[in-house]
Amino acid sequence: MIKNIIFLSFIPIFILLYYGSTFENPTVGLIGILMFIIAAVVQFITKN
Amino acid sequence: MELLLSVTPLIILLFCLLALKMSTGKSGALAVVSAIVIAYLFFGIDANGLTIAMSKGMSLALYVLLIIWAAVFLYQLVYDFKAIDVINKNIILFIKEPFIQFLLLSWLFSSVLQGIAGFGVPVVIVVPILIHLGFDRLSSVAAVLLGHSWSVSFGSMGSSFFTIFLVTNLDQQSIGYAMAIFDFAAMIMMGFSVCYIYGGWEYVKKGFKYIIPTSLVMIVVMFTVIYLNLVSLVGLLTAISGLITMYTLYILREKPEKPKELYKDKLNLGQALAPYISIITLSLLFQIFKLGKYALSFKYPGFVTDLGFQVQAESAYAKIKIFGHPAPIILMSVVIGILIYKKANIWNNEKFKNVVHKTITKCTKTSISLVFLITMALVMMDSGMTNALALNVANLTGGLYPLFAPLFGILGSFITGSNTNSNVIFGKFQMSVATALGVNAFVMAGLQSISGSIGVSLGPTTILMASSASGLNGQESKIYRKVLKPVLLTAAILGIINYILLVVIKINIGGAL
Repeated sequence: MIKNIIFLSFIPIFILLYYGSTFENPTVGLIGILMFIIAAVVQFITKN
Repeated sequence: MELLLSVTPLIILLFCLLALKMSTGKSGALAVVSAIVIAYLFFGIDANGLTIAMSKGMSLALYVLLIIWAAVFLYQLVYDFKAIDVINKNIILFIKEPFIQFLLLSWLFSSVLQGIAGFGVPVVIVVPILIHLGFDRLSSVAAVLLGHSWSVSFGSMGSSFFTIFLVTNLDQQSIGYAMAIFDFAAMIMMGFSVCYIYGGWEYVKKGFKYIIPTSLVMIVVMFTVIYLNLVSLVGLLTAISGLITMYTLYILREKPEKPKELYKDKLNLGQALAPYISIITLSLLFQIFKLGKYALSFKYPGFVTDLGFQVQAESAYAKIKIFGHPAPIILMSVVIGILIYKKANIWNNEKFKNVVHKTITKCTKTSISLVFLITMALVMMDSGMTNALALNVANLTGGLYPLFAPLFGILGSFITGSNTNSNVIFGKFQMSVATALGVNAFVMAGLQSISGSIGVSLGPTTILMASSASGLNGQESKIYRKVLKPVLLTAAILGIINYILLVVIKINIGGAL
């Protein structure tokens, strides 16, 4: 279940990062970076 | 200090994978966060640069994930509709001895597939076949990963070969000759590695009579094809010549009984093989007709870090060609498979739902790990960490650098999972070091490409594809442990050859620059 949420969260993260980079909008990019780090932390603390 | 910081994410990744035996997902998660923090705090990349690097990482992950999802879907379809049984029983009819099946499939047949398609296709096709022939899962994965790695640089219709030529701007044919010298050693080493995985030193001795003559034929063919300047076909023709030579040697030596008729069940061999034949045919057709203009790609601006590391703008990054990327080709082959199964009256909607379900379950975990790892690679590259690592090692080793040069090719493939990307990162760097040391740049460029080629067997993307295809999800650390030693041993041999060629003999390939 959590794995599926992490996996699906990559879609909005990618959209935010791509929008942030192409339109050089650091705020949107920063939200994307933080969401990505949260996804990584959740992955790290979740059981296999 | 800079060297230590730049290598930290890789040390964390390897330590978690190999020492703590964590899954790739967890190891990758920790490694990517460490790379982001180090890049931001010590390598002067700002939020904008990080956004671009991470977005690039995710778009590259999309490129690879499409291949993995399509390949696992095809494998699951072929498996659940029992086509793989028909293929395996026919292989046994033609090659009765298990050792020859193992060596021929993992060392040569996978290399033929690499010559055509590449991008992990050999792994996802050959590993399941070996497992269903009754070989141990881990051994099958390790054998295919290593077995086809010598052919990566000249494979995929020459894509890595083109890259090393493009980034170094050296004469293509001369780089090809230099690559062939190193590839001769790599193909022999990988053949023996497969034998060792099969049954230890006893089978290394047994394999001698097949590996040496086959490699001799392959190297002659390789030099001839390079001489004829058929650069896209070097890998394919070399591997085919090897496959024919080894099978002929087997027939002449073992004199196996000829099969009276082919095995068939509800499907015959042609029908069972149809999706795979379609992959090969479509890959060749799309190469010939050059339909690469229909593509999806991403655009990224360039930037400069606070430490002055420049990242170029990308106008078409991670280009997914509709008629060229392996995923659409594999999906077209899936459709062909479905049509054949329907015609043979073995189609079943419930089974198909099961195929879809299994594909999603298998691929989700792999996808998460892959996104973390590729993003880590891009953060390291775009922040200048990879560059700093390479420069520091070159300064540290000085005149002995040729001995250590293969490590960069392997490192590039290890962090990016691609020989082409390894050549992009380190091709120019290796050439610059060669020029600074006053040694032949063609040899160094050739070494870079071939060491990148064998390094692909350590690439997280390839390992994850292999674990998905073999059902060893979550056991990637076991695969790494099995593959690491042969790769490092081969790297040491390539380093020694490089040192002898450049420093002892002072070989001159391609003339002075």
